[in-house]
Amino acid sequence: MNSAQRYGLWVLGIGFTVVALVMGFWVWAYHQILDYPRMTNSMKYEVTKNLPDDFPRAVIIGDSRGLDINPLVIEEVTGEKIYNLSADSGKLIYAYYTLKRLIEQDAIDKVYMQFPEFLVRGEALYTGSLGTIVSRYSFDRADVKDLDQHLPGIYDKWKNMQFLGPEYFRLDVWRTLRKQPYKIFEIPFDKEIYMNTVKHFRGFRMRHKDQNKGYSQIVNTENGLIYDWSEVDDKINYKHETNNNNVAYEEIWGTYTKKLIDLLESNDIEYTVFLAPYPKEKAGQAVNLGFKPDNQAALVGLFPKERVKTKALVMPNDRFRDFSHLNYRGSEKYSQYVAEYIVQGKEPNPKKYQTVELQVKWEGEADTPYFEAVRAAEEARTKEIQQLKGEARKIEKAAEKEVKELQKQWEKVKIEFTSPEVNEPQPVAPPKPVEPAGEAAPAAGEEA
Amino acid sequence: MVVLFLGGSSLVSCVMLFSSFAFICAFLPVVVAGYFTLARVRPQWLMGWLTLASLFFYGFWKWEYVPLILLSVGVNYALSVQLQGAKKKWPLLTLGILFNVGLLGFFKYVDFFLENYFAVTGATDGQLLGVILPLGISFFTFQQIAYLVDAAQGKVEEFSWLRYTTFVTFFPQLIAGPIVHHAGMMPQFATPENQRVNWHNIALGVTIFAFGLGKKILIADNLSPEVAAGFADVGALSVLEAWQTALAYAGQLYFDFSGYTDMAIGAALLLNVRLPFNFNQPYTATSLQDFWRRWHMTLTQFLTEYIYFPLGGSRKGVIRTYLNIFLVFLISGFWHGAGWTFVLWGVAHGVWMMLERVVKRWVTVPDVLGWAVTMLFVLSSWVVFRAPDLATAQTMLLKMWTPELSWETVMGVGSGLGLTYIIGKIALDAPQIWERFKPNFWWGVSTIALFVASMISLNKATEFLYFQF
Repeated sequence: MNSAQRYGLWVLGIGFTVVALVMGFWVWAYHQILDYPRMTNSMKYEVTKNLPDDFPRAVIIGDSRGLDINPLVIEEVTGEKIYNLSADSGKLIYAYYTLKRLIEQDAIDKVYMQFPEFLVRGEALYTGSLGTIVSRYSFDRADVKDLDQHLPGIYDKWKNMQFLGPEYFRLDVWRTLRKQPYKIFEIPFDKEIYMNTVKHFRGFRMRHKDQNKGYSQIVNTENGLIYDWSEVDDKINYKHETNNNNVAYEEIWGTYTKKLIDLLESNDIEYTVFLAPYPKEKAGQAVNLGFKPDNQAALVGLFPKERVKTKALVMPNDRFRDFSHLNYRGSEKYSQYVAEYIVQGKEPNPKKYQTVELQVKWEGEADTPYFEAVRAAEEARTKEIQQLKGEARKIEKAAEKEVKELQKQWEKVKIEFTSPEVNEPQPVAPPKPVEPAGEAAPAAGEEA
Repeated sequence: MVVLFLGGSSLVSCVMLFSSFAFICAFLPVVVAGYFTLARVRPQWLMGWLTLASLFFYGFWKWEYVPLILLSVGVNYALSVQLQGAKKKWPLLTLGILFNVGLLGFFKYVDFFLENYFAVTGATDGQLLGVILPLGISFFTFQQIAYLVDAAQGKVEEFSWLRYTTFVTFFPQLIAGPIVHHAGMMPQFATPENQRVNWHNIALGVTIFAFGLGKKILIADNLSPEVAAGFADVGALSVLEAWQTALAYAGQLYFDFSGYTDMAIGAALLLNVRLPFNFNQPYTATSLQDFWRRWHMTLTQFLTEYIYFPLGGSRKGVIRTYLNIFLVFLISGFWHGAGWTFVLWGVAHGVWMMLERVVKRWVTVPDVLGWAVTMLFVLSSWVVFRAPDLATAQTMLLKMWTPELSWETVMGVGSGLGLTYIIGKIALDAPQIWERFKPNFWWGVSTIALFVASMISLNKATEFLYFQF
């Protein structure tokens, strides 16, 4: 065996082996997720078809952010059993039909609803029957959606390490690695945290093989309880929604908000509406959205004031797995917050969940830029209006000038028209002689 | 899952990139193993195997375009055979060139011409055809024009249709070059020695491939967001940021295209086929002429041989020489893309080449100055090359060349240029690897490290920039 052959075999052998090991790890990690069928809106809806006897009388409903509320934490605080019916891209149409079915079975007394601010504002567009959300925020989670949702331990580390991605070239990362080089090879997966987070989420994330008991039996996805949207009564509106049209969407939003409120109130269901928490990072970035005051107002406008929890929670970035979804730490904290709200019936002390330091930062990083942005936008708008007014004046002047010019021309034409040349009498043809009547045909009896 | 591991985004999963799991872990090993197995048992099937593999590689993107490339190959082959025995060759040659230019013109330029026609005539209801540019059409069209011209001049010795098809469709060079010449390629397919496993070629091929993969994945793809962000909002950039964006794009383009070429050379070498070099540390060039001897070398060779020389080269007086140079670069610009930015880019290079010639007649420019001036020009011209439209290019160039330069900007740009030289000097292109390679421990470690690091980062892979040309 010559040196080139040895070289070729070693390089290919080691290269592919290492790659296979790394890929194997990822395949394994993803396998942990893919083993469990994904929960969909349809499956959730299916849950409500065959309710067990001990189904809780209180439910949480919302979109994927609502899924971040851990029912077990609420149970620990309130002593009240609760089921989380939230679903990925959960829409009001879904909430309406799901709750309607539960109410028809006289299965619930209380509902806690939670929606994100951009849904309240009607900025999001839904596409696809099972709800792929397309909004300005959603693109950054496409690749890691499964991972960040289901293996938060891996995701957190992965996100920070970025495996030779841009982060790898940062000096601070190198410094950390120099001190703790083993971290490169550390398997960033905390199974205990994962299991504790996942297994107790009733009605959501109950996908582990060992969880075929209790409420997880309800969602026996292995048996393929896939709900078909064609069963939804209001097909026209549903189709309308999938047209992916902003107007149509908002119409549906409004329609189903009213329907939902009517449904809950006419059946004496106690309900509370929460606005999903958002991270400091987003609060800092989303300076031009106006979410903080506007969305509260929008939410109040949509739902009766007394039903709306009036403040949205701002939480540190490290409690989020992406732009608006909580990780296991945030989920736990936020669930406690919701639980305390339920117990007290009013806003708990936010400082418990939102540090003073963060408040200060919020003022500096989020509010100030927000107001500055608003002011800048107003100035720009004023400037634009002035500019438009100026242009309008110019157009007006030009039009006046043109009118004057036309008037002048008209006068000229009029003068020309009334001048002797123009008005000179034209020769008039002599009138035809009128033939006397009866000349051609002699009167009857004349000859006689 | 499958999509993720085969390449990441949907776009990437459509084209079988060299930097994809599908290519590295499945296609290439199968083709190489099949090649050497067939070489033992059925050597007469080798060309067929390579052609089929190449067509599969091409059809993986859009199988609908496989008949198109086969049509192009078939017509050109038929014409070349006719040219061999024809007494009057120019009608056939003209027909062949018209066919090729027509094909390229339709797929690449028809919308551009229509758009400009509508703009000139003021037609508001004009519809563009929305023709999808077939991958690699600019490359395989040029190769076949060269083949026809050589056939007309009696320089072609081989007329095996299968070998010709293999030459045109050979997958490592099919999509983005290097632009290969039949005289250098077709004999390689016929050499019996090339049908045996050559471990030196495999070792060298793997090494060059890994270096190319590293350039693309670890460097070019990481520069891509900076460039995209910069060009997305040119108006918001500061002077220094405009220069940074231009430098980042220069780096991205070089590492992307030279990385792709290295991978092509490496992959071909595994099959004992040597493709021509395409890059030779271009950012160390001390003049624009030198730059074009180092950047996309095969295109320069093609344009020189098949356009510049037939136009008279430098043999017909000074004025004519300048005009010929200008025309060559104008065509080069237009070849790169159907857009005014590309035309302007070609014009700028043509004019600069002429100026350089004039200056060199009177003054000897020191290398350092020559390098700095060349780099400043190249950076500025890349801005035009990259910009989506002329207005963006103008805004960016005005930012970069503002007379109100701060000390910080001058230092920043100077450091950036210096860094470009250092990177240009230490970044190994295929010629350097070819020359210095020894199958020893350190080369092995470097290759494995690059390979593994790149493979781990593969799920973020983006398309190669030169696929659009």
